[in-house]
Amino acid sequence: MRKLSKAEIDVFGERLEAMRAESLAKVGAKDARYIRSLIGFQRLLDIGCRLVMACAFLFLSGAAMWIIALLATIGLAVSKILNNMEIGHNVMHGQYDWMNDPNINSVKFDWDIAGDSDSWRRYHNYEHHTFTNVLGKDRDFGYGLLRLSDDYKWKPKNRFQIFTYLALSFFFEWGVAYHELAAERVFIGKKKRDSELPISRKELRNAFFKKAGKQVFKDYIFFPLLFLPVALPVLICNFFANMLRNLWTSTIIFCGHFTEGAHVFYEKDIQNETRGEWYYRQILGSSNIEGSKAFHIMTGHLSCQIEHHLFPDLPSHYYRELSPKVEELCAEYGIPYNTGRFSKQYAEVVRRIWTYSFPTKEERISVSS
Amino acid sequence: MNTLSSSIKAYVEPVVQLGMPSYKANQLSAKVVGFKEEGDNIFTVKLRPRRRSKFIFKPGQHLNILVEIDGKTLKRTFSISSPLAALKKEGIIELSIKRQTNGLVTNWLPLNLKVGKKLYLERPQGDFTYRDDRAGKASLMLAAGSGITPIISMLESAPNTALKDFFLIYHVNDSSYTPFNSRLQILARNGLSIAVVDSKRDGFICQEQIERVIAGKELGNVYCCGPSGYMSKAKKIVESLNNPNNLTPKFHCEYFGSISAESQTDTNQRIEWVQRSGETLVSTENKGTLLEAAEAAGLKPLHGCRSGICHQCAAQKTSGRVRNLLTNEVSSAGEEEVQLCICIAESDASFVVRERTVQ
Repeated sequence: MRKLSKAEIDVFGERLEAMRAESLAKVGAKDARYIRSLIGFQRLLDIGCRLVMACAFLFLSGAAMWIIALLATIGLAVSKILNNMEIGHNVMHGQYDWMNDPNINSVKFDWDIAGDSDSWRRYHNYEHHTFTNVLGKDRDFGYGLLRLSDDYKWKPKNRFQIFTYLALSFFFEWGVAYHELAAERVFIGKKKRDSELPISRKELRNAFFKKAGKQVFKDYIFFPLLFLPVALPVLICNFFANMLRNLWTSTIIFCGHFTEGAHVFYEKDIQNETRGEWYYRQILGSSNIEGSKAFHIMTGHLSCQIEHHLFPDLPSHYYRELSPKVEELCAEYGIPYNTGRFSKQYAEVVRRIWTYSFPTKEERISVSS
Repeated sequence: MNTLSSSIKAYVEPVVQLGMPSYKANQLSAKVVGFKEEGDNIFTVKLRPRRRSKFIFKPGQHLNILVEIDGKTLKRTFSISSPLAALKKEGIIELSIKRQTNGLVTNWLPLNLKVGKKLYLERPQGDFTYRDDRAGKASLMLAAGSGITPIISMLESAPNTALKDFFLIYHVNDSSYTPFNSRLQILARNGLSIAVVDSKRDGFICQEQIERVIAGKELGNVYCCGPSGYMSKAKKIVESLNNPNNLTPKFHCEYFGSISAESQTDTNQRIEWVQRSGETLVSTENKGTLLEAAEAAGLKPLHGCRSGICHQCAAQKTSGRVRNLLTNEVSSAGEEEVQLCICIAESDASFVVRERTVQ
């Protein structure tokens, strides 16, 4: 990787901005139709799967019951994935704010996930997207649970972090929901003194419980009771649907920033950072996954993580057509563009988690001596 | 506002839209039943609201209409130009609209609002309405251009016996194409004193014109609607009039020209910051980005990255035009969400601000 001059980085940034402007100029009625019909489809799928699931338990038996219930559970998981990724994540990034819709906008939209949306906008849209992979600033880097770089001191608990990772994946929505509270040390530990939280800790806690309560009520009380004779199997299916969604979102998101090639940065790197340098850092800190159109939609286009980090408020499906252009531009400047098949990228993630489970050579020496 | 039923309607809205793309939940609507040119680039849309009772208005009021152009919902305010009786008897409301140069909505409407189509709108509102608090005294109406629309509604809603106490001075660009001419003639036959002034030929509003028309009658209320320069001049003249009994007439006016597409940057522009309840918090001068302007005035708007990424500072603009510094695009004049950190005001503007709750 050759060192780029300041002037080169400026031009590089301007060329990316030109790409953004070109795509933004195309945004219009068809994008409004796309997001509305996707939301409509997702809500139909949600209601439909819940009904089919209950009916299977109520009126069928034996293998037919189990097969239909399994399909309905997978359908419900798909609906939740669409709601969280292609719809919720992107709407809350403001990709559809230009529509001026009273419900489909970054302030009002709420998603089918345990995390409170205001809280998520604070640490995800702001911290993670501004300080991507900057150690000490981006709380999403390892989620405060995993050691993914030698810059963090090895601790004995890191030896088992592959299991921590698995647990996080299964309960990802709760991990994400709890994330901001944990980082603010709301329940345990010393309170952060330099907190930039714009609301009080009490309000943060209330928002957490309110949203978490709503989610638990919906999937584990309301719908099971609605189909009372089969409440328990419905509850279990809802649990599995949430679990499937958690596994999928966690896996995709880990591929976005924690592949072996994904760079990390230091606070000194971002002092007086220009727009061009910011773009440059976003590319180095992110990685893409190649796949079909359906796959991209199911990942909320986080499979185009690089383009998402460059243009977070551009309607996500434009990332697909921008991706080859960005890759070409990177090649021209000799900037690594991290992309690959899902199996390759995910294998790298697991290897990275595994590698950093162990102390560095120096740390090992200092422990043994 | 957020009742269970409106939340459920909002939830199913996109599902219904799968089959009925133009459906909007929780939104009043009307059917377009007629369309007419009035002259001077003004046209009238005749509407039949679906729920008549929601549209009972005070003559002089305006309402917001919502149109979707290229996927974007735009809200615009127009005055009602028909009398209240037309709504009560036939269920009809008319809006008269002037095509603005480069106006996105005003030029789109006549091309797209075909008879039989559905139009989404909000309830009538506004304080520029007729008052009968000064009985026995005369009322003076001052209108310029399309500023006639709320005034013609007031005049046609007044009982015929009262019209002899009304005076209308109407400034038009060209008196051979006076908008609403036939309706004004009927009003004149019923007793209204009208002076149509050709601004090109006879000049701007002046004291002598007014004095000649009112001919020494005692004025109770003055209603004025037109471009802002016209209205401020009219106000000065009215205040200096020699009214019998030394009673200054009450001056009522309706600003509508301030959001026209022609309005350009002005060093004296004001930005108004409002609470969700509608209460004005503070009015600031237009300096720097909107976020900077708010902070300079001591407000603490929610914000994050200050570079247009995180959308935490998104605020509801209720009026005015802003320029997005990243795209250099100038917004439309209606209500919409804008990012305070990357926008500057291009006109007088007002915003609903969401503040930090801890300092």
